[in-house]
Amino acid sequence: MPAPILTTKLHLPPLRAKYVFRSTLLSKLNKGLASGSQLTLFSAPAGFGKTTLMSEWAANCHRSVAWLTLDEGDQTTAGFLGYLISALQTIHPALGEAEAAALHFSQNPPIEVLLVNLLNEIAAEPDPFLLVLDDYHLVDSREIDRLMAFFVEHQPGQIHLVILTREDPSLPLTRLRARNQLTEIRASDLRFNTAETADFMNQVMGINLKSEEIIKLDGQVEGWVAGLQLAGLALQGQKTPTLLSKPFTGSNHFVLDYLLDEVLTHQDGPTQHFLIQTSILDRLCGSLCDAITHNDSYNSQQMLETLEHANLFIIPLDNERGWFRYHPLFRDLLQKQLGQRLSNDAISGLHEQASQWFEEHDEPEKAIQHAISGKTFERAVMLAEASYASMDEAFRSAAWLAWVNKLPDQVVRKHPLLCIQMAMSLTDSGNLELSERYLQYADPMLSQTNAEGEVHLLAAKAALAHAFNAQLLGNLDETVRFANLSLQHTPTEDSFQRSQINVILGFTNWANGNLEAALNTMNEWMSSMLKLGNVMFVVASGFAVADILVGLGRLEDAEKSLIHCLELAKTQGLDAENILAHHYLGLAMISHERNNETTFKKFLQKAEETGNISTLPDWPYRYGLAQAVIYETEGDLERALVALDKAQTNYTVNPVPILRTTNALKARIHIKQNRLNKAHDWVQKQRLSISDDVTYLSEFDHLTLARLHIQEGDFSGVSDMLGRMLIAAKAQNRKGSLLEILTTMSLINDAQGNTTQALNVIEQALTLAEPESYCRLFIECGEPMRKMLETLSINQKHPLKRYVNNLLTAFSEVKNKTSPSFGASVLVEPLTDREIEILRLIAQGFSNEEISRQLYVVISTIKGHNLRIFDKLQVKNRTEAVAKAREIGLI
Amino acid sequence: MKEKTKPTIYTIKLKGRLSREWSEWLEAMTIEYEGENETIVKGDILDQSALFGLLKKIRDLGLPLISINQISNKPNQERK
Repeated sequence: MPAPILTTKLHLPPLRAKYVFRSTLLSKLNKGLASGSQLTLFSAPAGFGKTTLMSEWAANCHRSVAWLTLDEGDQTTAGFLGYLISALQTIHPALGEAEAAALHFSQNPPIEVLLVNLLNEIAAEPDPFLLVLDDYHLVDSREIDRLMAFFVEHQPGQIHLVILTREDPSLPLTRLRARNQLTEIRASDLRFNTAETADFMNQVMGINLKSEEIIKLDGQVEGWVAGLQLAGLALQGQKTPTLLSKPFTGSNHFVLDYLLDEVLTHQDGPTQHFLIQTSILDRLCGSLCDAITHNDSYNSQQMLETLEHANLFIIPLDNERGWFRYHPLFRDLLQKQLGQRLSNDAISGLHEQASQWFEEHDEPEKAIQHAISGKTFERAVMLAEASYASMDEAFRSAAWLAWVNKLPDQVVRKHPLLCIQMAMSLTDSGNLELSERYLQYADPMLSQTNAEGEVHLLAAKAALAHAFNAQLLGNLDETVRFANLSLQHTPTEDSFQRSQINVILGFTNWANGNLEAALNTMNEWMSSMLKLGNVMFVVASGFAVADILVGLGRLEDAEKSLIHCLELAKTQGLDAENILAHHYLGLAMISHERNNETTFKKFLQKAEETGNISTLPDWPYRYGLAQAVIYETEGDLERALVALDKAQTNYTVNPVPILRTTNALKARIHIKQNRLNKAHDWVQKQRLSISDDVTYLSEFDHLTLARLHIQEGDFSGVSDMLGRMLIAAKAQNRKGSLLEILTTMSLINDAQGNTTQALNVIEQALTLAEPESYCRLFIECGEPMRKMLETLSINQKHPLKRYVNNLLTAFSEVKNKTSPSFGASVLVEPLTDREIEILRLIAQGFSNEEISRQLYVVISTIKGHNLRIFDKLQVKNRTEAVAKAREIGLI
Repeated sequence: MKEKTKPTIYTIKLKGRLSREWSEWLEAMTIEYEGENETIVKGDILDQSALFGLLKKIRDLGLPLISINQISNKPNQERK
């Protein structure tokens, strides 16, 4: 669901009919812009005329201007980015369309990826423009500061950023200054000089002051325009404008305080009331003001327009004069008056009226805010509970929490639903500890076995929140326990909540290796989504079901379910197309496993086409993994390593369990390259040991560890570990795991010379693999596997003869094509890391002498290395060595 | 329950004379004067976030800040 965008925040404040033309500042600003500076910073206290100067510049900079006024609600990166895109779209409606869609589509949008895409789109804009962020000091979030720092760091020349703030932002200002990429307008620049003060008083405020009075005034307010404006308003009421009255000279009273008193006394009664009562509002419109002032003697809309006309610190927020706001400084002054003139009860009454108005006008956030300010806490709780779901969907749960946090603790505790919602929202913001604390308040609900109605629903929600927390903490058993508990309390007709729970259960069972249970819950989830008519969700999650089926060794079924999803998508029209990239990729990878080149290429091409237009956050990661597999089969191991690194940087957190980490995949390649040191580093980092209890999540790590041991000829304990893994896989009926474990077992038996045992194990694997036409599984095991299969093929009456022969044909095809993936195992004695390093330098055309200098060793050492390299590669000279090394994929 | 944070006394010195009526706005801190031209805002502040909240209010009024000091707790104060 799209987050509601307040268009008033995107409104460029209009220039008043009369203003002081600040030519010096404007030329400074334009000079900065022309010199290609990236950022203009207006940093000065309240009331120094930052916004007015910016409006003036906007009219004189000859560029389009995108404007965003920030407020206290802008504290999440997703919400902030949403507004940023909306502001940019005032320049060009198509800017950031895909990124905005992605923000709405995902609960955990990959902010950096979206920002990079957005910056690329900005770079392609035909005309340069300005992006203004006003009131940036109201943003109080390190994440947003980081996002903006990233923005500034990668900012294309098409965009010039302007920040208006009361405090310097957390951006690399020193660096920008050093590079001359920062134009600064500070308080000292903004202060009006005597001439400007005279201009302002005489032209803008329409008061004719004598020059000595101007000088006196200037000394008093020191060019602070808010002070000048208040002084002007105070003087407008006097017949002969003079400042020589008592308190203003000599005494050092807070100037604005004094001036506001003066200004108010010059207004008529209704205006005074209006100003003071409406000071509780940060945005004003006629109907809202009517609702809180209840005064028949004026019409609020007219009042607002009169105030605007009278320069009374009121700023229109749109072109229709629908919404206004007071200058924040003026509002603070008015609010202080409010506290002095009205009783607390009366002020609470005003807030309650405002809260009701906002509730009726569907602005729950403001309604809650005023209910809390008015100390009508039960009302605030009611509003907060009712608005949580929609605000959460609109990524405003952080803002929601910020408001609810202002409620007294004893009020919160009495409301279990509110506690649960707070817990959920704290979980979203990563504060699991506090989340659990709030859940405790609701826990009594969980133990009520004879619960009915309301209590049931609360118990279901509380258990669901516990399950979420356990899932995030990686506590799989607790996740399952709470999810099941939640399911018990959730009524059958609440398909939405049931499906939420089923997703948790599905992913947790998946991570636990209970693949059949995972499949069941995913299927139930999908059918309830279909019932709700949400075909898109079903299609989008189809690839996860296929992944589980692959884990179960059911390639045929995985293929069928993916094709079924494609067909389902067709019934939805083209809209569904861009979410199908994962499905085509899944089909391609199944074809790859079966060594079916034609369908592999066909599906891969479709996957790439749809992937290019996909906004799915996990696409770059999954595609990177697939690329690595493809490079590896082509024998391009270095490229495969690069693809894996790239995939890892593109990873965004999501609930799909990671069964093969990129680091383990890299270790496999390092083993193939015989760079065993690197593989060992990984083992140490992961603290892997053959005596570990192996879980489904660490299965691939341990299989890789076994491969490393086999390569090194260190067999002790490896068979035991594989045996334990085999038992676990059998218990959960994971055929995919069984096949990997059995092939590894055959390799170790073969390496130890237990030929009969090796063949026995390989026959078990072949029996399981044959119905699903696995092929790459065996080829990837390299030469030892080929030899074992060859031995089996000698028996002409072997029941698996055809399958074995097919595999052998595949082996020979692969070998004839590029075969280098066998590199390391082809050699009798593998090359060391150092030898490979030298080989690479030789391949780059360096002489022995150059290499010796580069590696800081004497030339005779290099020559010694060369001889060993030639020997191991069975070649005679450097040229042949390079050719051979390339052929077998060493370099 | 979590142990309550003990409030600390702070004095905040501002340039200019701020009338005592602002006391309530500034979290009921007391307002005193130093010399002709300086205001001292003084009182208990619950914790760091309360302190920064107060400084924001002062910033938002555009009052120049001169200094801010923590008055050390009396040595015989102990945890209960």
